[in-house]
Amino acid sequence: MGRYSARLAPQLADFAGVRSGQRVIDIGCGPGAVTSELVDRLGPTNVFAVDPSEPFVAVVRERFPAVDVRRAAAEQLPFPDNAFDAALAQLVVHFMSDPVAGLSEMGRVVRNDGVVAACVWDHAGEQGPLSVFWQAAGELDPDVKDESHLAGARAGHLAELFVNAGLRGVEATALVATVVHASFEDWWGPFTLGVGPAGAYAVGLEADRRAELRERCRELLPTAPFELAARAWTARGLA
Amino acid sequence: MAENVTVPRMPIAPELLEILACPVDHAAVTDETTHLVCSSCGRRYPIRDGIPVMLVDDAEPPAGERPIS
Repeated sequence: MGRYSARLAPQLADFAGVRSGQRVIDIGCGPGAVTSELVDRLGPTNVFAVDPSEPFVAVVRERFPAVDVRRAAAEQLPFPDNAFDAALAQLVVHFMSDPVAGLSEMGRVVRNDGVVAACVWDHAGEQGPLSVFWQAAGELDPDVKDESHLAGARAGHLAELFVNAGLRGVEATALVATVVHASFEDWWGPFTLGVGPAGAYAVGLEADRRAELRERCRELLPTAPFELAARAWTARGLA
Repeated sequence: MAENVTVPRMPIAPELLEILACPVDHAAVTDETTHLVCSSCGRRYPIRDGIPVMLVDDAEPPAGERPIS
C-alpha cells in the first residue's frame, strides 16, 4: 500500500492547492507519504503531522526530524483555530471513529477560506488497491467483512461527509495511483506484514487458508509483471 | 557525548509553542519539560521520546486531581 499512497500524495497536494509559503498539516500521517510531499513543497518547518499511532509517529520523526509531529486524534486536534493554510488527510477518514467530527476539526484549525482535503480508497468499487484481495477472500468465505462499508469508500460519500462537517464549496474527484508489480510475490508480500484490515485478515488466517487465499489472488491477477491502477475518492472544501 | 547523562530534550521553540493547544479546550499549553500543560484545564500531556502525546485518553489530570474520565 505504501507505493500506492506515495503515488497519491502529490496528486492530493495538487488538488488541495498546496504551494510554497503555506503552513500545512498532515492528519493521520501514517509512515509519512503526504508528510514527505509537503516537506518537498514547503520545507520541514512549515509542515505539521499528527497520528494517534506511536510506531507511525516514531517513523515520521526519524524521517523528518524538523517536522513538528505529535500523537493526536483527528477528532481532537491539539491546535488553536486558524493555525494552518490547509489540512490534508490521505487514506485516513475511513479509520476515524467519527469522520464528520474529524473533518470538522480539520476545518477549525484551518484559516477562513483555507482548504481541507481528503481521499479514501475506492474500497466499495472494483478499482481499489485491495479489490482483488477482498474478492478472493469473499469467494473463499462469504461472511468476510471487507472495507467497502467504511466511511468515504463509496462514490459520493466522502463529499457528503465534507458537507456534513460544515465545509463550504465542496468539490469531489477521483485520483488514480498506478503501480507496476514485478512479480506476484511483490504484490502479495505486503499483506503478510499484517498492516491494515486486509493484512490483519491475511495474518489471522490459518496457514492453509492463507495459502488458498494467496493462490486465488494469483489466479485473479494478470500474469506478472502487471500494472494495477487504484482509485481514491477525493474531496476538498473550504473552512 | 557525556556518559551516564540523560540527553536533555530540545525545548520546544517559542514559535511552535504558540501553535500548540490543548485538544480539549484549545487553550495555550506551556512546556514543562516532561509534559505540555494546558493553561486552562490543567491537563498534562506527556512528552515521550521527544514526541508530545496530545491524546486526551493519555493525558494526566491536573496536579492534585483525580483522573478525568
